[in-house]
Amino acid sequence: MNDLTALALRHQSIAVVGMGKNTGKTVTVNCLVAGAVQAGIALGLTSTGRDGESTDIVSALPKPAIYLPEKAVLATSTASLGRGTARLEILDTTGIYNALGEIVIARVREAGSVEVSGPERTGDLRAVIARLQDYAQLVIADGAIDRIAASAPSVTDAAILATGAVIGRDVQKVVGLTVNAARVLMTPAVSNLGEQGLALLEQGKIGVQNQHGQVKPIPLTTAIDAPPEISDYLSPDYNCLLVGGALSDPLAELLLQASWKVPGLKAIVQDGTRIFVEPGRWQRLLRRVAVNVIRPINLIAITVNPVDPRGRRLPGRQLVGGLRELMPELLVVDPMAEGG
Amino acid sequence: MALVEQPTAERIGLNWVLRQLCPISPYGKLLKTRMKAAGPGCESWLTNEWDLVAGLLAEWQPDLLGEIELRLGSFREIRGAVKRACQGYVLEDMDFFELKRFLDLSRQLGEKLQQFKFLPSRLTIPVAVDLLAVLAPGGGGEGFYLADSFTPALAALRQEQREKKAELSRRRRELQAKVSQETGQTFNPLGRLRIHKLDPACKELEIRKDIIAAAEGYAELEYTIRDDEQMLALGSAISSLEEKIQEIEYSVRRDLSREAAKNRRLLLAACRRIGRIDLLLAKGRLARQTGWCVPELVNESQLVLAEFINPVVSSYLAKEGMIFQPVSLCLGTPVTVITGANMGGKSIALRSAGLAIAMAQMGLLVPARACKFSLREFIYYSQQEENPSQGLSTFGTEIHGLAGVLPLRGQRGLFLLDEPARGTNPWEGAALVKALVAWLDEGNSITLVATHFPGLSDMEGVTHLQVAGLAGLSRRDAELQTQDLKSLQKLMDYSLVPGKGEIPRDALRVAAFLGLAPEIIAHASQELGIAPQEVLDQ
Repeated sequence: MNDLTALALRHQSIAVVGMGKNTGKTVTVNCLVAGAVQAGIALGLTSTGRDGESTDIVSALPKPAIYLPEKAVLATSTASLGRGTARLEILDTTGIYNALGEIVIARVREAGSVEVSGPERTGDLRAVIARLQDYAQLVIADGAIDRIAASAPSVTDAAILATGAVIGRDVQKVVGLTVNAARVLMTPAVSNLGEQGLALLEQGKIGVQNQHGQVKPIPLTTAIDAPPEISDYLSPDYNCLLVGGALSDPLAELLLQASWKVPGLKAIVQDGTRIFVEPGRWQRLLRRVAVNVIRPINLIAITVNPVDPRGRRLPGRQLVGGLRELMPELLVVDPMAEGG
Repeated sequence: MALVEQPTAERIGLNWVLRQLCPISPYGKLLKTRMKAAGPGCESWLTNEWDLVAGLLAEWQPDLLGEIELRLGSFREIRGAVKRACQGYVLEDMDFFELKRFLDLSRQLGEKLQQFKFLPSRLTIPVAVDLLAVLAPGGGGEGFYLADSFTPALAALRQEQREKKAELSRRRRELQAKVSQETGQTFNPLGRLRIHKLDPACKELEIRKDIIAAAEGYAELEYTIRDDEQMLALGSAISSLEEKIQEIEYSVRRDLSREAAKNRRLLLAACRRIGRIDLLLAKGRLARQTGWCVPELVNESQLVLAEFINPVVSSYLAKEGMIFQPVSLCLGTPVTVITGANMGGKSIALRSAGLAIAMAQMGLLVPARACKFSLREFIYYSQQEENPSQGLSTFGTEIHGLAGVLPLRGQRGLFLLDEPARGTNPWEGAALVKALVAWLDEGNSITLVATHFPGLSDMEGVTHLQVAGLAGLSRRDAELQTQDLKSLQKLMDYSLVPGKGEIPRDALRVAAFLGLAPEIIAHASQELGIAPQEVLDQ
């Protein structure tokens, strides 16, 4: 067993998320599956949205299929059931639907490839993972198309980030973007959030909180384009912005501006997958504003695919080495390279 | 005309009651949408239905019902699949899974239901045992899988294919091991051997016949094993076996679909009975929520209601922390007139009479101590909403509606007229209502009229009831209370007592309770020629 699967098998559920398409997410999943088989662990698999299809539906290029061994269980939509070589036993229905139909729980009776299309909403994903855990010791949730889809990592015990040559033109660029994404995902948990504030964030609403945990809701549906009235709510007393939704570039800019008039400014987000801030601005933001999350993500590893789908290749060892140097606390591997 | 038209159903609160009736399975839900009130001629069906619900309530066992409800909630609609099978289509694995689960659940539900004594044998849920046996040969597992056990041919082909796949994979690993051993290079998990173009070993790999270049980048090459003749033969054998397997799988699915079609009567009967039992349980839950009695049918034109608790009003009052004063009514003569204080519950009495009958005729138990009546052919509650889209005022809407239904007086209906003609001048209004009462007095219907108009209560053959109202209230009592809506509701005696032949005058007192300025009350008293104090002293 290689280091990656050894590390993954210490958890009960793992999300694999990609920095983009063709970052080797499926290879990472297959690597985990192979490791679980070797270790004799009952395996469950699902995804956020659709995955495991034989051609990439966006770029129309062939891509590796997810291969499941006998006895593994998966949660996928009815439409995806017949689209693989594995023979499946239908075990149960879930009452949860995605665009391709109802999500059902199936068991592999004869090993082969599968197409997985799981739930699209975070709450549904949590429910589906719980159902799979009735049958499996380790559940893998494969993130789909989005850069980091449907905040799968916030509902699993641990997460693995897949990155690759496809996201940047040289090693330095790929390493820079990946390290930033990893740090964003690992944004630390908040320590002093009141019940009111927690409830507001869970409902996806926006508000401000003072030191005593008192909350003033801001009547906005979204803060994504940073409406200027948000600054009016921030004051030396109410110095903590609760962002139930995305922390976007414009909102980060607004926080940076507000930090001059509000000392000790803080921001709290649901989890690291909701932060969409450009790397340079993120660094500046962290110097002036304390950003925390309610559900921290336990990022345990980064996998690297040095080849982009059109055959361009970056030096794998340098890529892995660069990431290891900057993120010494994480395991960084190229699952395709010798010795994995 | 339906027995209870929509506007009447809404007015009397029948729609509210039906919203509280919640079957769990898709079959029960469908049956609920088809529920209709049963009229004369359906006496035996109705008494039977009431007895079934009462029987269920007598044997009410929460734990057992919890288990039954759990199973009812797991049922899915299978009738679409059965229909497709009957049309000759071949069903999919998902359909077989649903059919198998339906049969499993039906069997479990049947076992649980056996513990009830009230259920007659005609409601036993049939299980298509033959179909269950073919869907799960050898007992089967928890789910559905086209297992090897379906036909020996399938088992043999799949076994052969498994062996060939294993052989192919073994052969590939052997060749990879050979290449690795001879070149010192290793293959990655995807079966690729990756090498830098400047690596001296590259030349050596280039001339090997047992590997083939699979991908090339700027600096690296990827090789994979070149399939030899043995591997190609194995690959082609695996594909042709797959074709044969799929053919057999298709024929198994076709046979299973035919078996499902053959069992359609049993399957559809099970769906109907599950729906029937589900709806019965929903009626039981509703009765436990609202209180209940088994209605009694009589031949003579009569409606006796003892201590009816109007579920709509009592549920609202419960939220406000108040208790509903039950309604008791005994309607014998063709027409009964109710008079009494404003806010005294005249409309509630009318609605309650309509709701009790409508609930009973829908096959529900009635939330009262007793309910005795003869089946009605229709229930009509007078409409008084303005209807500007049709160019009708409140008076217009009311008369338009009455013009349509009054000719039906010869039928055994129930007319509920809530302050008829209140939208016009009192002289003509009073005359009109008197004429209406005289007209309805000659029919076969039961009529209940609430009115403030004088001159009706002493008509011959007409029963007069009166809301007890604030009459028993002394001035001291009234002063103890703050004068608002809630204290008015507490002080009001809503019971119906035999009328004294005159129209009670509580309007000014009620207006005072509802916060009308004292100056206005005083002025109105002067107009009536009484001292303002007498308004409360009356």
